[in-house]
This record gives sequence, structure tokens and C-alpha cells, in this order.
Amino acid sequence: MANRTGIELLPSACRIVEVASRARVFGGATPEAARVRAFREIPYSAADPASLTAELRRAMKGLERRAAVAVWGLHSSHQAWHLPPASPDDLEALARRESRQPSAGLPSPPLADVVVAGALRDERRETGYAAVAASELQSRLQPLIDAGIRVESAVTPALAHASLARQRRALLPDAVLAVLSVNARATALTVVHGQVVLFARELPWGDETERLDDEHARAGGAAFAARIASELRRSLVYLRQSRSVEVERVLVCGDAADLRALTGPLMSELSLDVETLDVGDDLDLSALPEPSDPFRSRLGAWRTALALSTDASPLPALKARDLRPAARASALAQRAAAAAVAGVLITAAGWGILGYLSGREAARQERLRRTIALLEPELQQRDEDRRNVMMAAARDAALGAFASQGPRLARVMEAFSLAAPADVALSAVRVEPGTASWRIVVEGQAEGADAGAAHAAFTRFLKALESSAALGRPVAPPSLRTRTADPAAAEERPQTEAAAAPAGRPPEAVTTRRPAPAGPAYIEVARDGRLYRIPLRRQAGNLEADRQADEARRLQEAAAARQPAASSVQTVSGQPERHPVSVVEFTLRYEVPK
Amino acid sequence: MTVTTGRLGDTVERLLPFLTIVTVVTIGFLWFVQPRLGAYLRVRSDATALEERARTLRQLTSRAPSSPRADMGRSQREFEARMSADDKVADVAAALAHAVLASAPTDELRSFTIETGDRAAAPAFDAAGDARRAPGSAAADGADPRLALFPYAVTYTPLRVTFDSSFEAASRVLWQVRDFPTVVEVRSATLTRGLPLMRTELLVRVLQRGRTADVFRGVPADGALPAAPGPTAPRVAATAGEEGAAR
Repeated sequence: MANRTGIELLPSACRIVEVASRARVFGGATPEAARVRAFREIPYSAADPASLTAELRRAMKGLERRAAVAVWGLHSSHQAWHLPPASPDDLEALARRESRQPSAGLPSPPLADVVVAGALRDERRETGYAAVAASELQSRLQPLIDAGIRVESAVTPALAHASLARQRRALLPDAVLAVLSVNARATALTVVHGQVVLFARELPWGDETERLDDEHARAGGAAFAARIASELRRSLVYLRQSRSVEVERVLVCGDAADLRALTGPLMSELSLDVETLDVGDDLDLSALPEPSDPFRSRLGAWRTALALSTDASPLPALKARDLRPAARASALAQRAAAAAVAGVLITAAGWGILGYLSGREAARQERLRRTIALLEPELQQRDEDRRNVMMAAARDAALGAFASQGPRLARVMEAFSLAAPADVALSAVRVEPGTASWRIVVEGQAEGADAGAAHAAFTRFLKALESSAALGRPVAPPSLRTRTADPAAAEERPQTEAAAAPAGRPPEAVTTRRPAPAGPAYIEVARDGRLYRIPLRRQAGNLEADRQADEARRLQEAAAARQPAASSVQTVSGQPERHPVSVVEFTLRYEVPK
Repeated sequence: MTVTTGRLGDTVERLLPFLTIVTVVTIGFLWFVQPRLGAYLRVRSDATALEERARTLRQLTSRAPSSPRADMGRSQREFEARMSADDKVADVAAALAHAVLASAPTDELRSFTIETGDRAAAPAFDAAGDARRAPGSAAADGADPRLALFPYAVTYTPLRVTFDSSFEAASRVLWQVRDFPTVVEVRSATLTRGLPLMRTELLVRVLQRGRTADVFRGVPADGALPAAPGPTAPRVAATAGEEGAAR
């Protein structure tokens, strides 16, 4: 529950009402009736603002100092238009542009004005505009400000009556209402549609001034009512003609002595419903301080101040136009400052987060460095140990190898001895040093009845060496040289044939060459460790006699060469030594680890 | 104020907070956040590299079995026990003579001679196992690289044994080339057929341990100078021609 204060500053009095209004709960149920907590009425004279200030200071004790004020007697201008739909700011700009027309009758600037946006009718926005002289408004409000009152909003009586009409809108929705406030020294007539003031007029006379006039005093209250009705009728006619608006009801309030006395004349004169707002059925007067008769008996006089204090959503108030941009700039600066602060906070948050992350990564880095500092020496120690183990093993192996060099060479010799069959004789075994091995060169010869048998003997020897664990395969192909001797029978036969040849039929030259008969087709030659077979082409004809002569001579030389050798190979038993028919001379190369 | 300028003003008013935030954030990012972001990225990349290094080390540590400590002193002591620091050429020659005489029958042994050469230094080896020829060392080549495994300078004296006997006798002699007072290195052995016996020539190096040297450091043994001839080395047959090498 909030207390609100409404102040009506009339030409002759200042009325103050404090209301404890209960707001809607979540905008749902209708709020309870406003509870009037206090009321004050102070005499006022525009010529003595200091007195008003002093009175207000006393009167405002214990009351809410934030207040909405309705100021009578201002030089004001109220206008209404149907403007295109626009945003509130655009609507304000349009309204102010419309208000600058010469016929508007604006007060002298600087102005304090307000734009009231009404309902949308036929795609046009009904818009009201009110303006007063800002300096005049300020001078009228200054006594209140000096008394410590914080003026939240200042309005004209017409705007306050619009608020009053809006509060009674539930009874007559979308109706055009006329509010007639009849006071002792001033009368105000306001025509309101929705919350837009269509017509406003302040009359500088009232119930009390009329009574002072002798002529009207004699006529009594009926004449005053007739005058009021006449003024009202003229205004309504003007409205009907200028804006095509029909007023449906007249609300009457004010501090006139007998408000209800106006009802009959007004109704008869205007043919309209007239409602006197002197009944407090919409108010909770249970909390009124005693004596409360001045309030209860003159409830119509407090209606304007009550309208200001009980309005849950007050209308926009008059504001000095030149102050508005400053306020707007101030709000804009506040928003910009808030945005800047938000930007700074975002930047600081990013900076802080990155700092936190950097610190965490640095700590992680330090942890990893410590781990690496522990692991690296351990790994180096392990490498060192492994290297030492390998070194020790290599040393043991080296010492063992040095100690067993002789026996291992003996095993090699044994392998040669075991592998050599009876047909193979070794002529030399040479062991020469290498970097980490011995290079072994073996020379010898294999014998056989013919070249094939000699080769077979050599092959057996070679395979036996290959199967030996001490030697294995040779590191280079064997070097071979084959010598084939003539058979013994063949030695004799060519001799006899050679001797008989001259006695026989002499060789005859043939004129045509004949194909060669069957016989050996190649010559075997050992070279660079390989045995080559060169094809032999035999030609018949005159070459035969030369060949036979050469063969006989070679046989004779061979026989002469064999004769001493045959005598030297005789054994003790007198048996002739086995005569090799073919010999394969070989050279083998091996490498054996030291 | 016109409607157009009013709309523009409203637009500016609406956008002003956003523009302010963008401006402040941009300036703050460029002046404050970006340097710290760069530092953070650097630290992060360094940490990632360190983490990779640590992971690799952990894997290597877990993968590499912890091998027992090698007793390097034991192999060194064994080397010292096997390779004498004294001149044992005479002892080796005597042992070889005994071996030849015990292996070959008396009637099948001819032309038995033992020759020795001058003592020389074995070359030092570098880490790659390549021998470095010591200046002035004439007989430095062909040394066994396994000698570099031991932290000693080694000198050697060539010794040649020549005799005529059977193939089996030569094998028996070779079988007994062991258990000498010092380590010997068999350099060459040649068996050639003669009539009626086989000619056997055996060339060994009698090794002698010198002073301690850095192994694998290429330090020349004995100051890279050729060793002096052993004073006790027997000269059964005089060397001919070249200096310091048996022929």
C-alpha cells in the first residue's frame, strides 16, 4: 500500500488529500476503494506565496511529500487532433508541429507541455496536447517546492478532470464527458473523450464571485445555474460544430455552496445526464481523521485533488520543453554509461577468465616440468645401465673369443679334414686376419675318372663344408680349373693309328664339306672360378689331315711327359698308382668370426 | 525537429547502448584481452608440448625394463687377470714350442722355428670403432677392435711359429693355442702342402696391458709412440728387412 498526495491549487485555496491506494495484484482483481488518510485546505492568495509556503510546511507534516499538483489560473492551451499512427516520440513531434499553427493560441515560450495519446479511431490516433508557459508554471509551483513538496507531476485542471473522467470510464465506456468544476472564484469546463481533452475552458468567476455581484445576488442561485448552463451550452455547441462531438454526460464537482442545485437547470438546459460527484461511494472514508465533516459534507470540492491522488496510472504531466532534451540526454547518457559499464565488465570478465586459464596452464606447465625433471634422469640412468650391461656382455664375449681363437681354428681345420673325401686333396689353407673375422682361403684339387666324376667329388666336398657349423657357405663362388687327361687306351690307338696312317689310304681332299659326325661338341675352360663350355664346330675337308698330325704330335709329347711320372708313381707292391683321368683344381674362400 | 530526424535520433538512441558495448569490448579486447589471449595460447601450446614430452618419457620409462646394474669392474678385473701387464712373450713362445713338440711326432716335425718381432702399440679406437693410426706407429693396422672395449692401452709383440708336420699335427697345435699367461691374438695361419709334410706357419700377437686409457675417446695408447722392443722377447730367428713387423 502506497500513499499518494494530490494537491489542487485554486485561485483562493489549496486543497491537499493523501490517499492510501491499493494497487492491483498482478493486474487482476479490481482494487479496493482508495482510503482517504488525510485532507487539508489552506487559504491561498497568489499575491502572498510566502504565506502559502509557511502554511504548507505546517500542513504537510506527516503527509507524503511526493505529490501531483493541479494548478488553476495558468495561461494554457488545449488542443486535440486525429494524427497518423506513429510511435510515441513521433506522435509527440507531430503534435508539437500541429500545435505551432497560429490559431492554436499557445502561451509565450518557453513552454511546458504534454502530449496525450488517445484511442485509435478510423486508423488515426486521437491525440491531445496541452501547453502552459513554463515560467508561469514554475512560479506557481515554487511555494510548494519551497515547502518541501516534491512535485512529481503538474497538470492543468482540464488534465486533472480528464483523469477524473477516466476513473469513471467503466460506467460509460468511450463516452464523451463534460466535467464542470464550479468553485468559489473559478469555474472550469472540460470535455474529455477517453483520456484526451477535447475542450477546456477556465472561467474567472465562480459561486462566490457571483454572489458578490449585487445583481446576480438578487437573482439568487437560479441565475448562477442558468449562467453556468448557458456557458456550457455554448461550449458544447461549439464542439458539436467544430469537431462533431456529442457530449453524453456532465459531471459536476467543485466547492460551490449547493452543487446539487445546478443539476436541474443543467439538465433542463442541456438535455443531458448530469451527475454530481458529491457522493463517496468509490472512497473508503473510514480512516478519515476527525473532524471529518468538512470533507464528507463537501466531497465535490475535493474531487479534483482526489482524482490526482487516486489515479493508478496518472496521465503524463506538463514538462518544460527545454528541460526535456536534457533529461533525455541524461537518460541517454545513463544508458550509454550502463552499456559502457557492461562492456567494461565483459572485458574484465574475459581478461579475468584468460588470466585464470593462463595461471592454470602455467601451473600445469610447472607440474609437467617437475615430472620431466624426474623422468629424464631416470631414463638416462636406465640407458646408462643398459649400455653398461651391453658393454659388460661385449667385454665377456671379447675375452671369451680371445681365449678360444686357437680351438676355433682347430675346429675349422677339423671341418676341412672331415669334409674332404679320398678324391679331394688340399694343397693349402691360408687364414688371414680381417676386421672381425678370419678370411680363409683353401686350395686343392678333386680327382675323378672323368670331368664329371671330379666335379662330383668336389661338389660332395663343398656340400660337406656347407653343412659344417664351423664354416658354412663360402663368401665367394669357388674358383675352378679343370684338367682332363687322355684315356690310356686312346693314347696307344692314336699312336698306332698315327703310325699306320701313312701306310693306309692317304687322305683325300674332298670338294664339298660334310656334316660333322657325332662326338664332343664343346671345350671346357676354367677361368675366374667358373667353368665355361665353348661350342666346337667340326668341319670336314682339308682340315682333317692337319688335325690328325697335330693330334699325333700332342700324344707323343704327352706320352714322353708321362713316362717319368709313371715310373715315379710305382708303389712298393709293384702295382701301378691310380692315374687320375680328370682333375678339378679349386680355390674356396670363407670368413669365420674371430 | 522533423519526423525523419526524430526517427534517426530514436534509432541512434536505441543503438547507442549496443554501440557502446561493442566499442568498449573491442577496445578492451585489443588492449587488454588480446595480449593475454596470446600469452594464454603460448602457455597452452608450451604445456601441450611438455605434456607430450612427459607422456613420451613415461612410455619410455614404463617400456624400458630396469636392467640390473652391470658389474663393469668384474669384466675389467677379468681382463686384467687374463692380459698380463708384464712382457710374456717368452712364456708364450715356450708354451707354443711345447705345444708343437707335443702335437707333432718326432719323425714328422721339421724346420721348427719361432720368430718374434718388435713390440708395437695397438691403435686406439674412436666411438665409431674406427682405428686411428698413431703417429709413428708402423704396425698399428689390423688390430682387433674388441680391444677398445677395455680402458687400457694395449701393446703387442708379433710371434711367428713355423714348422713342417702333418695336417693333424697342425690342428692339434691350434687346439692348444689357449690358456697362455697372457692374451694372444691369432693373426694368421697358413698350411701349405710340401713334400712329404705340410708347411705350417702360425702368426700370433702376444698382447700386453698398458696404462689405463679412456675407452672410446680415441686417446692414443702410450703417447702414440711405438712401443720399445720387449727386453725379454726371445729372438729365435732374426727379423729381416722391415722394422717392427714379423715376416
